[in-house]
Amino acid sequence: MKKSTIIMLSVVGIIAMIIAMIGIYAVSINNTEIELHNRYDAQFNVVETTLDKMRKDLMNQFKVTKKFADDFIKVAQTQSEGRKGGTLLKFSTESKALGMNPELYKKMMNTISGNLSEFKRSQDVLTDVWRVHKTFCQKFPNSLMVGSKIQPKPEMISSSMSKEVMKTKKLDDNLLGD
Amino acid sequence: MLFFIFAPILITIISAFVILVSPWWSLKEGKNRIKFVIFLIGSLLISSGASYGIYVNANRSMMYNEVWHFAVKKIIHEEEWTTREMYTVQVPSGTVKGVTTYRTEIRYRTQRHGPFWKVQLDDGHICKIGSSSYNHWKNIWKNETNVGEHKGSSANFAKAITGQIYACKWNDQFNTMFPWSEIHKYTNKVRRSKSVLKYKTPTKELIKQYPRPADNNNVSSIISYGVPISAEDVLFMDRINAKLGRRYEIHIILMIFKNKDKSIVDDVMSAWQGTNKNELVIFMNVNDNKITWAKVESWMDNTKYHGMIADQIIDKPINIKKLGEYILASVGKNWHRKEFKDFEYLAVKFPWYFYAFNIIAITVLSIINGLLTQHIIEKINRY
Repeated sequence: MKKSTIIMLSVVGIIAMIIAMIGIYAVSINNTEIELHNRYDAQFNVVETTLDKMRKDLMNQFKVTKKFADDFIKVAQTQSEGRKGGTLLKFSTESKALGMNPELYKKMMNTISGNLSEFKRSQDVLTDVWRVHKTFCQKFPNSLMVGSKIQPKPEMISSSMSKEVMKTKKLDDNLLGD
Repeated sequence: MLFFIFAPILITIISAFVILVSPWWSLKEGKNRIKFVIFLIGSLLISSGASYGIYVNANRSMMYNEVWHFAVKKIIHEEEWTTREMYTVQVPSGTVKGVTTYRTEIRYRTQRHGPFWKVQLDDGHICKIGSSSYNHWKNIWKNETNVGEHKGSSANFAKAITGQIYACKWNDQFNTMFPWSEIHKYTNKVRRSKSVLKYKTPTKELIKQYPRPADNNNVSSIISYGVPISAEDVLFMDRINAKLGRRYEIHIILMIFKNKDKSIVDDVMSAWQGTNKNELVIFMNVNDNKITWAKVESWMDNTKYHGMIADQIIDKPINIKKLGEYILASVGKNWHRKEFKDFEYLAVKFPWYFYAFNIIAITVLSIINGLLTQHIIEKINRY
């Protein structure tokens, strides 16, 4: 075989290999994008479930009405930053205001603050998956293939007060709102 | 991942191309064609192996230490014993046409073994311990029995020693438990990624001030900053961990501070970059022997249990035993170790030097492979 033929065959072989590699790479980009997209979609359901679970846990475990559960969640949101000293007195005052004994109040408070943290985690993961998906789509050379598949930023479920602050960019002294 | 697959293939193709266009190995000659094929196969195998090694090593950077707890079921003492071991040597047997010839001779030696002191853990695996530790637990368990012997043998008239084997069994009582801890590795992508779940980057001072216990071989269940804790309490918490550790995949740490603000929890969490997946860390502050605040940290999604634990201790005098007993009774229902498979979506970027090193390493290996192939084939042809 002539040297020129060998070189030509080699060049063709190299090009074929490079094309095959690009093909595999492209498939890999597409599959990763699909995986992340599906994970992102699924996380919305997780957020919804944890939100729903919060009220249901209170209603089922403590046999309270939907309205009471909703009111209690509002109170619990203000307490979700762990326990501080002097809580005994605080619990007594708060439980008295709600017409409950302090022990039951503590149990309900733990249930709801646990659920709140689960809800927060589910929203954090949602943001995180969105971030990973967006970065993946934006990066070169991925952007050539999946650049148009960037998902809209997920809207966080938060209090109307937080939404207002985000909109106006103004924070009043009363952090917890009315 | 794909980079580590493609790189060796590409480097092999490029080096093959270089050989083809170069005047070094003219493929008109049969021996050069053999060289070329050997080079191609060798280069692909070696560079793929090297690339895989570098990839595995890069992945190891996502692995972190965590503490596993066990209960010792049995302690074993094997006395020293000897065995007769066979080995062979080549000895000169004469000369043939001026060349020395050799024959294989079988010889025997006496091999000494032990003495050994070991523990058998509740998952069945065995670890070595020291004689003092064995004696300590032998005196507590008080049920040492002879469970067998290593029959001694010897070579060349040396004295054979037979070693007795003794064992003590734990009676399954909590207050006589011998707790055991080990450091193991697990993959934590969150700590290496840019995840929103990641803790803020700590300062060097903070890392120095609050070193991550598992990374410093600290397997203790209680870490106290200024509050004296009795050895009895430490042993009690170690036993709680040993009892619960394997079943629930948990490592409980009590972090006890004296007259500190609650913000210290954020500092420690930042220095540690969060807890390990099996850690339940109970932070508490003691002021005049009373716990003034408590905060619990773990990877659990639902932190109801955190609040339950904190409620047990806040505004009360510090009582390790009472807390331990509460955890013992409540952990089964309330502890759910986080599955880190949930974070598989996280993309972890390796540092650039892993990629550069991979390219350089497989290129150098390819060149060495070419030179070796040339040298070996030429040598074979010469003979």
